[in-house]
Order: sequence, then C-alpha cells, then structure tokens
Amino acid sequence: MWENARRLAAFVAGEDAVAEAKVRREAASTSTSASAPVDSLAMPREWSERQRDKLLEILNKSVVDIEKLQQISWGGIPQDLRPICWQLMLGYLPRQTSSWQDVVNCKRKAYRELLKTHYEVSNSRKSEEELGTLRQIAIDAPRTEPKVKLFGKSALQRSLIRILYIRACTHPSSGYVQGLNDVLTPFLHVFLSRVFPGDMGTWDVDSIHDDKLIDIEGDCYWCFCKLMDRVEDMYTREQPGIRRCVREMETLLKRIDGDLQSHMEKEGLELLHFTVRWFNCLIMRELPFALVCRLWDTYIAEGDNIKSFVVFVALALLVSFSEKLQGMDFQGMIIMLQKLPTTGWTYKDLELILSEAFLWTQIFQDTKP
Amino acid sequence: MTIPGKPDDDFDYLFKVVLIGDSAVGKSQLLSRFTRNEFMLQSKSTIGVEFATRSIQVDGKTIKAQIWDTAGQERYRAITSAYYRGAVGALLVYDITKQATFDNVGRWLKELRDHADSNIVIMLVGNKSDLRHLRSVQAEDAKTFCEKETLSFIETSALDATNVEEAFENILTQIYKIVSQKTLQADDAQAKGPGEGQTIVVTQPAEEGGKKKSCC
Ligand SMILES: Nc1nc2c(ncn2[C@@H]2O[C@H](COP(=O)(O)OP(=O)(O)OP(=O)(O)O)[C@@H](O)[C@H]2O)c(=O)[nH]1
Ligand SMILES: [Mg+2]
Repeated sequence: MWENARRLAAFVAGEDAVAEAKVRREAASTSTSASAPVDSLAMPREWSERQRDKLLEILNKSVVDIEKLQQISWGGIPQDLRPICWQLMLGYLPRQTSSWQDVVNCKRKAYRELLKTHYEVSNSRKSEEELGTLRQIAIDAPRTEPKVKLFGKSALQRSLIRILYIRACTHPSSGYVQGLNDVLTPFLHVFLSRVFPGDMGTWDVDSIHDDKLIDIEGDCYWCFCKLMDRVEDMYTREQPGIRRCVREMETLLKRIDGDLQSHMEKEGLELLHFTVRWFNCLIMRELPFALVCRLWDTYIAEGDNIKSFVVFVALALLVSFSEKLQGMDFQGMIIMLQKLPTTGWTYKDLELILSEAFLWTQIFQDTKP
Repeated sequence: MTIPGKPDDDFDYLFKVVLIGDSAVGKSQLLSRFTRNEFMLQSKSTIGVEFATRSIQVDGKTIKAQIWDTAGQERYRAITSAYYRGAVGALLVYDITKQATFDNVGRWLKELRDHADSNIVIMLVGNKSDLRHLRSVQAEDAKTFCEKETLSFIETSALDATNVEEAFENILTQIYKIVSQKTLQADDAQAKGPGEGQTIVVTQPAEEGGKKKSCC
C-alpha cells in the first residue's frame, strides 16, 4: 500500500522520490495560499478537496478502477492530479500501478524513435505531402493561443511542431488539420505543470533541459493521439465527424429549443455557419483558455462518448444565449456566435453548461438522432 | 437564391463577397483592417468561415458588403466551398513574399469555377506589400497573369493599411456597375440572354415596395 502511495506521489510530482504526504500538503497549500483575490476561473476550494480525496482513494489502489476514475473525474480534477488522471483515463498509463514507470519509459523511448524516423530526417527525404503538412504546421504554430504567452516561447513552438507533425505522419488518414494545434495545448499546459510550479505565466520553459522536454513531449504526443483516436472522423478527409455533429445538433435543437431553431431558420442562419469551428476545436476556442482544462477533464472522462457528448456541450452553449439570439437578426446572431461573449466566464459558468449537457444526454440517450 | 439578412437594413445593395486563398496569406487581417481598422500580428487561424460586414458609398448609393472569410487549408475546401454560393465577388489573396501562394492561384480559380456563380467578379490581391525586402512575387508577373485571366489586380498591406480600402472599394464598385447596368438592361428589355459581356443576375430584386434594393 505504502509502495503505491509513494509511486503515485512520484508521478504526481513528476519527480522520483516524494512522499505522498508532501503531495497532499503541497497541493493543499497551493490551493489555500492562492494569494489575494479568489480565482473565479479555478475550481472552488471545497469542491477541489472533495474531489482530491475521492480521486486519491481510487489512485491509491494497486489496480486503478478506470470506470470509477471516470465517474469522479467527470466533475473536475484538481490541477495537480490532472496529469495522472488524464493519462490513466486515456489509457496511456496502465491500470496496474506497478508498471507505470516501465510503460512510461518505454513510451518515451518510442517517441524518441518516432522523432528520429519522421522528424529528424532531411527535407529531401520527406515526401511532397509531408513537406506540405510541415509547412502548414509551421504556419499555425505561431498562431496558437496567442493570448497565452507560454505557447509562443520558442521551446514550446518546437514542441508543438514536432508533436503535430509526427501525429500527422503516423495518422495519414486524418493528418494535420488546422485547429489541432489548439487541441494539443491543454496537454502541453497540464503535463508541463508537473515540472513547473505556480502560475504558467512564470514558467521558464526555454531553460528546461532538452531531455526533460522531450519526455514531456512524448507524454503529450501519446495522450493527444489517444484523444484524437476517439474523434478521428472529425479530421479525416471531408471531415464526416463534423458533419455528423452538425446534423445531430440540428435534430436535437428542434426538440430542445424549438423557438430558437425557428428563429434561426427564419433569419437564414444555419448551424454550419458557425459550428464547424466549434466542433473542429472541440469548443475550446469559444472559452477562455483557463477553463479549457476543466472542459478536457469531462471530455476525457467521457471516453469514446466524447463524440456525442461534444454535441450536447455545443447545444448547451448555444441555448445559453437563446434569449439574446432571438432578439437578433442574421447578422447580429452570426457576429455574436463567432465571438461568443465568454471572455468573462468563470468556472461556474462552465459547470452550468456541462451539467445542462449531461442532463440532455440522459434525456436523449435512447433517441439517438 | 436568398441571402440572409433583414431587408430593412439601411442599404441600397447587399453584396456577398468571399475571401479565399492559401493559409496565412492574410485574409483575416485584411478583413479586420477593412471592417474594424484593426490588425493583429498574431491571430488564430480561421476554421470554417468567419463573417463581417461593412457599408460603403458608391454613386450616392449605400452598398453593404457581406464578407465571408474562409479557411485557407486545402483540407477545409469541402466545407468552405459551400459558402461560395450566392457570392457575387471574390478576393483571391496571395502573399507577395511566398511564391507558392501565388502558384496556387490557378487552383483557387478552379475552385471558384466549380463552386461559385459563373459570373462572379474576381480580384487578385497580393498582400503583405509592406514586406518589400522579402518580396518573391513581382507585381508584373501578377499583372500579366490577371490580363490573361481577365481579373483585376491590386497589392495591399493589411499591416500598414495600404490599398485595403481600395481593394474592397474596387471590387464592390465593379459589382455595383455590373448590377446597376444589368438592372437598367432588364428594365429595357429582357430579350438578350447571358453570354454577352459580363453580366450579373440580380437574383433577389426588391421585395418590398418603396426602397429599391438589390440582393445578389
Ligand atoms: N507583414 C504583414 N503581415 C501580415 C499582413 N497580413 C497578415 N499578416 C500576418 O500573416 C499571418 C497570417 O494572417 P491571417 O490573416 O491569419 O492569414 P489567413 O489568410 O486568414 O490564414 P488562414 O486563416 O489560415 O487561412 C499573421 O501572422 C498576420 O499577422 C500584412 O499585410 N503584412
Ligand atoms: Mg484566416
């Protein structure tokens, strides 16, 4: 038992020998000392502590019960437990805690191999298509979450490019699609938080040792791939997954908010006019970045269901603006919908959207459109 | 064919214009310069389409441009080409510092031919003219190309605002001229079919009595 706790602590802290007690204490202190004003974007402290206790109980077993882990994680994961919970739920870490270290070492090594085979070869040995992909990724990397300084740092620019490029090479049926650079960012943010304490604005990632960075990059790569596997058809040629989401959303909107639906129809506004981006980036572009990891907790906990769950999130988001929208014409609606007034949103606002979405999954689960 | 938008807006003509061209040539920045007079060095890539409007005056008439900015990545064309429908103008943008984006212009033209109205007015736009020292596409080459394809041409900079107003004004004026001429002709006689010179079909004439409106 103690062995497990130790292993867990080491994983959570991203270092080799840290006692569990220390993790608990540290985690508690970061959430309490969260200086000056209460962070409305962060998980409320009481809830966070309850979640932590429940999660630690699940994680402190020699074999982790993934289903239980998903159940609890759905409601949000405290920051310091995020890396480990995501990695378990995505199947990157096995349920047997005793093999965590071996598996991770092995995966990180495999990532280095992939780098060698695909990335660290001269351009003359890359195909025309691969070069095109690399060009597109290089164009998009600097345009990744420009408001978050972290991703603009040169070390992270390189990481973004490498991960996206290698995934495109290893998954030719979907390849690279614009917007995947955004979808990758929560992984980089969360897994780097194992190494850097405190606010991400202060992280000096450019000084991180190359080896360490590639380790984290590897974790990101594999987890990103696992998440992408669950939504792959959103990114394959012609993007059938996105079309499916839009169709499902159309059917459901009629039932959930017929007034809004008919108002939109009257004004000539189609869901396709604005939801392509919503689905393509799993709705993360519509929210402040600080809330995206919380959204990811739920997505990842949904497992393969993420494909239909994201439709309900989109609906909940749309319907939350229903009243306003119904007072607008085509132009007013589309301008608002492509730049939703969510900049001031708090943790609670997102919780409301998620619970609404959950409610509807329960109501409509047997009536798949 | 209808264009969304309330007819009681204050305009005489409503024209739908699309912005197309390779990724990162500056389509979104041209649009934000024209509609909001803003420029951002680091903006996010466009996914799907983005929409904005602005009205200008031509010949004492208010022309409202409804502009659809599309995603540049080839992967998105299946989705974005659906938005070409009903467009009467297209700004086909390339980056004067990136030869490849100019080489692709032919492909974009084909894209328009396949999916847009056949008499759509097209203007080729060489953007980022502020980056003189990095120029790799000569204006002369672009002009020659445009003569051959009968397109109009302009170089712009979304960054320092050079020619951005002019580009949009030019294309909107061109469309206006064709449409108002067509309306005159239509008033005159409806005998002649298409195919003679460049004509634009006014697809949605004034719905309400009183104000005269054209919607294409
Ligand atoms: N120097 C200079 N840079 C520009 C100009 N216009 C755009 N840019 C920059 O070029 C990059 C791409 O601009 P965007 O407007 O996002 O390009 P886009 O064509 O909309 O790209 P997609 O949305 O991917 O299709 C950004 O970093 C802009 O700041 C310009 O006139 N001069
Ligand atoms: Mg754009």
